[in-house]
Amino acid sequence: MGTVAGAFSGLFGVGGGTVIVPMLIAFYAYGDRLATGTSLAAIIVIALLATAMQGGFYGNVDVDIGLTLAVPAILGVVAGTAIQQRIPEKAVSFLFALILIGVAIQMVVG
Amino acid sequence: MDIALACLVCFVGGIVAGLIGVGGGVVFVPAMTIILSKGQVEAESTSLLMIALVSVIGTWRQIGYGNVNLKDAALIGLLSPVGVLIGVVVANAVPERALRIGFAALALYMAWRLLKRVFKKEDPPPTEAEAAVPAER
Repeated sequence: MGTVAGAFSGLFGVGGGTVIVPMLIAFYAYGDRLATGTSLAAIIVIALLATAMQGGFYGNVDVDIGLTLAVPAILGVVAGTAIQQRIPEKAVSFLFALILIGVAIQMVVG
Repeated sequence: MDIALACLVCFVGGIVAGLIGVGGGVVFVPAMTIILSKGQVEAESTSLLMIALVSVIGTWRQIGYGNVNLKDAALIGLLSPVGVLIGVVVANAVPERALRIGFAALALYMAWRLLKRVFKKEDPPPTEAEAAVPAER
């Protein structure tokens, strides 16, 4: 599944999580929260490899801006994971279904 | 002022990342290109650094909530780069229109599976009498 998720990233530039979460839920019977948590953990590996490539080889990473903006983003992810524990679990599936329909429309008419 | 606005937008991006398990790049990149006037490549590259940090903290929180399968995550993460290479090769070999329609069909199929799951009726809770009888082995 990692290969499939990566292939979609290479093909269409969609982020890993957009493919990983719905695939884990739809095809591997993951619960919504377990799927999102596992997706975040998988993204660590993907993002670190990509950052090393872009920063190490091409010098395209603005470390100062990245670290500055990462502070509120980290506060946000702490809040987001906490909120997720308090909403109905299937809300994530519903949200992703809407996102996927939007992506499908964009793919055909875009 | 611009940096304050970008921070606010990235905070929202972090919430989205934690809520639905994505990296948040879809929010971080426009925060840098539109608000901070960064170039697209630099913004995308810098967002990767942010995604790495956000996903580390997000994973740490989700481990605390018992929501991470580390073995599967490692497998997915390590196999993804192989997929990216395959995706790039396929993208250069197959007509773009066919790829787009194929991906749209897969996205709609996944959406249908998710919606079916969302609206599936739950089994009713056992009655007191049923709950009192131990299940047969």
